[in-house]
Amino acid sequence: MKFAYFPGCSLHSTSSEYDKSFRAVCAALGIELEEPKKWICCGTTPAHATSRLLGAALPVKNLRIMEEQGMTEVVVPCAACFSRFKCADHDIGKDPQLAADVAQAIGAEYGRTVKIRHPLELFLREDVRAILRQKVARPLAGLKVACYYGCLLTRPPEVTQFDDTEYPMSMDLLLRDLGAETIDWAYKVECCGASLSLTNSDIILDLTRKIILDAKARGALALVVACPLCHVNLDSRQFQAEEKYQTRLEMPVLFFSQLIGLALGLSGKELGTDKHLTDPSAILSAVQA
Amino acid sequence: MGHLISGRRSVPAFRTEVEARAGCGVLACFQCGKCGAGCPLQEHLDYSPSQIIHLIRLGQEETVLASKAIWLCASCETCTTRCPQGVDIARVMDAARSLAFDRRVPSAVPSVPSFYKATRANLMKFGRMFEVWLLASLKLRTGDITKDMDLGRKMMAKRKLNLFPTWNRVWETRAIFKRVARIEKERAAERAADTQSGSGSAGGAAASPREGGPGNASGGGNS
Ligand code: SF4
Ligand code: SF4
Repeated sequence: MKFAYFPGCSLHSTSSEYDKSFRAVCAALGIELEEPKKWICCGTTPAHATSRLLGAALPVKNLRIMEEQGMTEVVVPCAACFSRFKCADHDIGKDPQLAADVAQAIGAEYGRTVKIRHPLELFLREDVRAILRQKVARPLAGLKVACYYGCLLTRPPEVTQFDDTEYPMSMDLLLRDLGAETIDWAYKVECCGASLSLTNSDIILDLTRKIILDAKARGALALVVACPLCHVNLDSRQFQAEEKYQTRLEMPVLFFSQLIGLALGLSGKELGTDKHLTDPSAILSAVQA
Repeated sequence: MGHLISGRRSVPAFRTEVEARAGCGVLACFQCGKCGAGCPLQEHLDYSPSQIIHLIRLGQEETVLASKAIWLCASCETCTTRCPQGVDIARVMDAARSLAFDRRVPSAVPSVPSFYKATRANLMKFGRMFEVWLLASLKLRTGDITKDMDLGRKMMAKRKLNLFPTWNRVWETRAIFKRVARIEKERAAERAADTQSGSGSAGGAAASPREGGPGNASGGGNS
């Protein structure tokens, strides 16, 4: 099994542990990943918020790069990149004027031949799921976690075509397969504030605190995420929320790929769990015990 | 919360410009308020998403472009997903801020357009995000030098920030930015000509819901 792999900017920097753990898990499962050569940034909010055309052109440019390199199916772990790719592809499919403008902007016609997938979709494919079940070396029994999907994986549903838009279960099912217990909670698809992180961190800290407190109140030992922006806001800014609200949150935040890796018997170091700003050792020792 | 209506004019040109930029109409809105009810930013906004939609319908350009709401919207798509009338509110928010951005309207949340500018400049320089450069240039633009120093230090210690950039398709990226600006200018001129000749305010077409077919997606302009 082989897929194109678009890590995006965050997985090469602030969330390198997501990149590392996803690659390690794929290697363990015999899934081959190939990064397109010289991809560029998807443009994220500063592109789509200032120009609909630019917001579509940058993702389509990347899809065109992959098409040129003979790739047909791409896995995009960053929920923000995933959303930008899906949106751009959807919009040029629906709006011929936009499609023509995009073609002019990138100086090429893109044939819409590359399928866009989030890794959660990949791991829930029946064939992959079967391999995964077979290879579980260390079931996550006794681990009670809250799966946090955030905003962009499931919204808007006609664009992302991914899971239930208000109450997704894909990550829950995946982790339950591995033996973990996942909780029913209220903030599954609430927004963490995403791109306001750098400019309005006060708002972010408020949202971070609310999300973590709900998970905590329902007995979750950790939050599990599938997006590098969520991870920065929930893990890396958690100490700021604790300082601001004079409270102890102490909620480890892991990428779902790290939990898969732990279940497969990989070590924390191989999965980059030493990179988090909020200490995840409680989870690591619970799994390894 | 301020008064909804200020000034006396009601200008459809503003509405149609926003609709064209959003690729979606706003006339289908029946003010149920569901978009605001689910907005995670609601308590931080001066106008709720439904009020912004209504202000746009009323042609209240100054109020919309001077609002905090258009800059604080986090593009989470909750409103768009839940709107019973198929109004793509998240895109309308984008359209309004892109208009304010292009016209250099002083922002009620200046750090946000500064962040957009810094990121766009970053992409034209490197082709990908180079966070250290971005953070430095954001600090210079906003003048808030000490913000997030604690976070930056911790991330550095964990080696979560690259110290050196990579350069990827910089010339191609710049060319995309340039061509986008040129195409948008052409489209804006076409819309202006349409409005003057009176054919551009076919708001009915633009008001169809977001899944109403490709005709809808071109908004009220350039038909
Ligand atoms: S935009 Fe949609 S959800 Fe918001 S008030 Fe109008 S009809 Fe209701
Ligand atoms: S997209 Fe913007 S306006 Fe809509 S719910 Fe999210 S933050 Fe609120």
